[in-house]
Amino acid sequence: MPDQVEITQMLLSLRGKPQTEHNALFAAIYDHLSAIAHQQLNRRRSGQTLDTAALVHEAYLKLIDQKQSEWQDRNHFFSVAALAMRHILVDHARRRKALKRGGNVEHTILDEGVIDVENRASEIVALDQALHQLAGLNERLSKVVELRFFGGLSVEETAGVLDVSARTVKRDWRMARAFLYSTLYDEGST
Amino acid sequence: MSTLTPERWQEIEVLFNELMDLDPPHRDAFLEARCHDDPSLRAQLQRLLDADADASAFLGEPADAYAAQLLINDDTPSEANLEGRRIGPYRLEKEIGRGGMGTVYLAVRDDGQFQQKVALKLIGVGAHHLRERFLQERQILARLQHEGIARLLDGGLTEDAQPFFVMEYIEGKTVTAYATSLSLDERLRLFLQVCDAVQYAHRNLVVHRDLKPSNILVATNGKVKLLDFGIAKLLEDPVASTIETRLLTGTGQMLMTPSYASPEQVLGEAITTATDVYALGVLLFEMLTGERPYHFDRITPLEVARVVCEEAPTRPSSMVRNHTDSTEKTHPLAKRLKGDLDTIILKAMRKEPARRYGSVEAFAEDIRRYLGGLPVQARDDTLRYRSAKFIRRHRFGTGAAILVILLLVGFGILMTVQQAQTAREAQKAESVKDFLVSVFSVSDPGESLGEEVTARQLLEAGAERIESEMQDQPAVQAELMQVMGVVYKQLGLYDNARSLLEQSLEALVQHEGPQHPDVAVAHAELGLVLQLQGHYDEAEQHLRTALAIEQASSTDDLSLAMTLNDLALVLSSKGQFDTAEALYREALTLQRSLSPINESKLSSTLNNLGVTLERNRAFAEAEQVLREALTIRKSLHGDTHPDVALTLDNLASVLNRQGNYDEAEAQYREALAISRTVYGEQHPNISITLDNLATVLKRKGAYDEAAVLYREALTMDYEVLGEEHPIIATSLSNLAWVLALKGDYDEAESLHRQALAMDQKLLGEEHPDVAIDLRSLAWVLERKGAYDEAETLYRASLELNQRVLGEEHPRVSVNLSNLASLLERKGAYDEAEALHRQALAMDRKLLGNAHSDVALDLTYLASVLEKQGRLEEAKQLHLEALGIEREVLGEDHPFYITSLHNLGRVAHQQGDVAEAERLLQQALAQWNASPDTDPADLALTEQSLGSFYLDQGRLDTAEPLLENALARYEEKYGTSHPSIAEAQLALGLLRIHQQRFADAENVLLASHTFFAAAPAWHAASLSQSKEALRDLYQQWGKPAQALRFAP
Repeated sequence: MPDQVEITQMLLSLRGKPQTEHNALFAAIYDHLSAIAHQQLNRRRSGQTLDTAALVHEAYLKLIDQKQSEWQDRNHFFSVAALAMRHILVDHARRRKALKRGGNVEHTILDEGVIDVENRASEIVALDQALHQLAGLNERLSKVVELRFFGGLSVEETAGVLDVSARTVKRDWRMARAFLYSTLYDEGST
Repeated sequence: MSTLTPERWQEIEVLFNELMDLDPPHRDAFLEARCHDDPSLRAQLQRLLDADADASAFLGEPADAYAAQLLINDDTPSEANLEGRRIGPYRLEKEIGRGGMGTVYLAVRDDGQFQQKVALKLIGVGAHHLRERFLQERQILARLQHEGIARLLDGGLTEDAQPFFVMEYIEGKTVTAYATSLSLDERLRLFLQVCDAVQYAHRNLVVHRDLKPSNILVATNGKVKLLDFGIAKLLEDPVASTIETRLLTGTGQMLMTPSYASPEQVLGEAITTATDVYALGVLLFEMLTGERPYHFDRITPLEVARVVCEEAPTRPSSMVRNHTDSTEKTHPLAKRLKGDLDTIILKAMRKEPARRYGSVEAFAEDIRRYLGGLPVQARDDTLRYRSAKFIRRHRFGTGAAILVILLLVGFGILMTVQQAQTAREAQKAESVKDFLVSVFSVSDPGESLGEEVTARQLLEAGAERIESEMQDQPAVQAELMQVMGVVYKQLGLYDNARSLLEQSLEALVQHEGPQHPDVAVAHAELGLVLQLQGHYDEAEQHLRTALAIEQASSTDDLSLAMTLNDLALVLSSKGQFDTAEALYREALTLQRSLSPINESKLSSTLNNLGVTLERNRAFAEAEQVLREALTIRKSLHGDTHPDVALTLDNLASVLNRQGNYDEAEAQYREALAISRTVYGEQHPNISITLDNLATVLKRKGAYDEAAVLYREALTMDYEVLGEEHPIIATSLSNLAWVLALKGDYDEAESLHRQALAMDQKLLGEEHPDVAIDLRSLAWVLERKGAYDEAETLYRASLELNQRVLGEEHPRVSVNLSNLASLLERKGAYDEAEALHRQALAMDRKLLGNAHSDVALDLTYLASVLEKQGRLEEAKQLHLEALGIEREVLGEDHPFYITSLHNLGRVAHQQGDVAEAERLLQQALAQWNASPDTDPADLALTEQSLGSFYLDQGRLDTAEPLLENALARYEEKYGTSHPSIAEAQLALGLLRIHQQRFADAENVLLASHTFFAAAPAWHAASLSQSKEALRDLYQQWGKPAQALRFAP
């Protein structure tokens, strides 16, 4: 995995460049977030929740040399990290679903607790699809969800990353939430 | 919304945001105005609005929970497809299952010699603690050889340190899946096979701990095979202590299957064979009904704990009825389940392990009895248990019979009232309810047992009638449920009360809305029942809800005051005395402002406030408040009434705390007399008062009567509570203490040992009460001179408390002091000093510098230093203790005077004659001036002062002091007591100096006889008395006699 210096350099070199050029940074952050998340979960054997916001912030402190980076780099980092977190979860969920289908035969050791996880996997995958749809209509709305839900950012941090007002973030959030909810849970979709 | 274009969406966004700014009532008009020509736009907006209304919690929290559940254990080797991989001699063929603990593979052992199909289970959770335990347990588990148990073949750690187990591979279905194709009797016989296997394991001292359908397979030959025997214990993390860690593995998945987890597992209490009995009960439930007994709204640790520990399981027969639409087809099953099978299953599933079947055998036997058409034992036992419990708690007979009649009449009145629906009539209904309830609470003791059961059955019939006959009058039904609920509460049948009150609350909320005053009453009543059941958090919640409703509506002040009172009661039970006190005061202010004042309720609140004030150590005000309550209650009920006895008991306890033992004794005696009149010969309240009275008498030094009363209380406890009960253990211990004070160490030891064994059995090894028992037993052994065993027990008590209560705790400090005193006795002064200093530091930290316990620690420490001859240091510590006692307790407190005495004694040893005389004389004067002086305290000072004058050669001054000391001890303790022997020794020394040899011989021989027979504890005194006798006979000119007392 790239170290702190390399990642900071990547981040700095991307100032002002379009999103498409961010692949290397994205990959690096993806790997690191994934590693930190697993570390945390293994450390806390009983830790059934994981603080995504803390993860993203921890990754930032760990991966980026604070002395060199500026405010907009931080925002940029959060933006990429939220995307990475979304991908991590969706990837795991897909894998989980695939495994489930790969299935088993004679004795299934499925307990009540496990079913919950399978549902969660489906939910995440469906949410990801709906977010893609939403991005096609208004990309900023999907970005708000990505930052807040996957990245765990606060309204203010989200506003900073997107360079809009907090009020706009709140409005976007409500709009996006209504769209996603009706897309995911309405039976008679138009 | 697949047809949306970005342009259309922009339009929607603008309108949606405008809609969001409008109050909901105005939105329709807005839609009408802006979309009247575009119905599809309107529909889209409406969908979003609906979604917005429903979605408030959606995505409400970041993806944390998803992240944990999806990520964990995912990229680790077990998650990747391991098919084809080798683990030891095994080759993984394919995954056949996955669960909370890990993944199961079909594997083949092929080490070149032979091939064998096995099931290999890879454990997904942390493995650090497993290796050793595995090695220990593997032997035991491998020994389990039963056709119903899948054999454990092997196990160990993979290269990645992941634990794995290898078991016999079984092809088959889970027992529940298999059961669906069987008749009821066939299912029961299948279940008996399961019982056989579990029974076999229990005989081999292995508990399964994780019985559930996925662990119980039926092979193709129709034979049951149990998997994973003993594995759950192996995987249990010994350090895990929270509910979370017990319920969840690191994977965020349930380790236990919630429906199959017993209350003791959820709570982390001792796991025994009863745990398997419980799981078997759940299994039979599921095999017979196809459903699990509990429904969980959410699978979170707290929800699971709440449901498993608190909710009553649905009866199997009702489950069948509820879950089928075509009632006709399944009613036969419900019919067969109702009665015996319901009873059998629910007995196995009791929340309290002790109330389940005593063994799997007994459980299986009842199934066999059922299959054989014999009466089952569960049924019989339930009735006996419930009626016994009922009778034990409520010795009412005729009262109950009358009540049932009243209750039935009451139903009639209430219904008429409810139909009239005027405020006046409603109030009448309230009075009827109050009346019914009050009749029950003062029911008449002493009737034959048979009638009481009948009364209970009538009550149950009443409750059933409310449910079946009042369905078309929901409001009346709710009201009557409440009446019945309150009546059940008065009877102490809290489960029934709770269930009725919950139903009543639900109905009232539905019919009257959540803010209705009746709903507040329902919340409050339910809260009180929960309080009595010990569910303080829930009780608090309901009472706070009640309070909020009443404060928001214009409820009358009396109701409000009583809700405040009830809430305070709960908070007091939770130990929140300050808040409780504030609420009682608020309630009191409201009650006093009423006109007319409701005296009965006022006296309740006063009584409660008094008890809380005592807890807050405001003894003077507590006394005042309780006296007011007492006056009111006596004027309301006369002198002989349970309420009067209760307040007398509370008042006496305050007086006791104030050191006013004489009046405390008088009040306890009055309370006791009332209780005996009111409750008959035996009642828990009588035994409590006996115990309290005995404690006061013990304080007063009246050990003989105290012992008699403790014994009486104990006898009563055995009658009322059975052979074993924590209260009995406490009573045994109390009696033992007073016997020890009398010097009867042998019986004291035996009683302490009984109490210890009982507490260990009932409360488990790791319980603070067990630490107290250990300490008490050690104290007696110390007095018997069994120093080594005493030391072992003191240390055990200390370590237990450190584990259970933490390193720093007042009781830990007491442990340290005890241990230190023992070591001091053994001559290990350095370690004793160190421990005393540790206790002192801890108390200073926990209690602050100005606390009488700190002064006590100082005194103990000083005494060790005195023994080492470090007199100056000892003096300084005594001085500091004296200062604290003066500040905290006052100059007339016995502890202060004792410290004066101690300082005088040190001055005597230091040769500071003037100071010694001054201090000892002052102590003597103060003892004499105080009316409540314990004669023993006075005697000790007289003895010290007498010995001082003897040393000064002032024999005439010493004589009356030493004579008085002995006389006082003899009066207090009778003939044989260590203090008497000590006083005889001191007087004997004086008599030698006075040349009154015959008198000297008289007292010295008595003293020597006592010490010679006394335990080693008195060794120092024994050698002193020998020395004195040798001295005597030398001076007397009888050297031959002196030889008899060689060292």
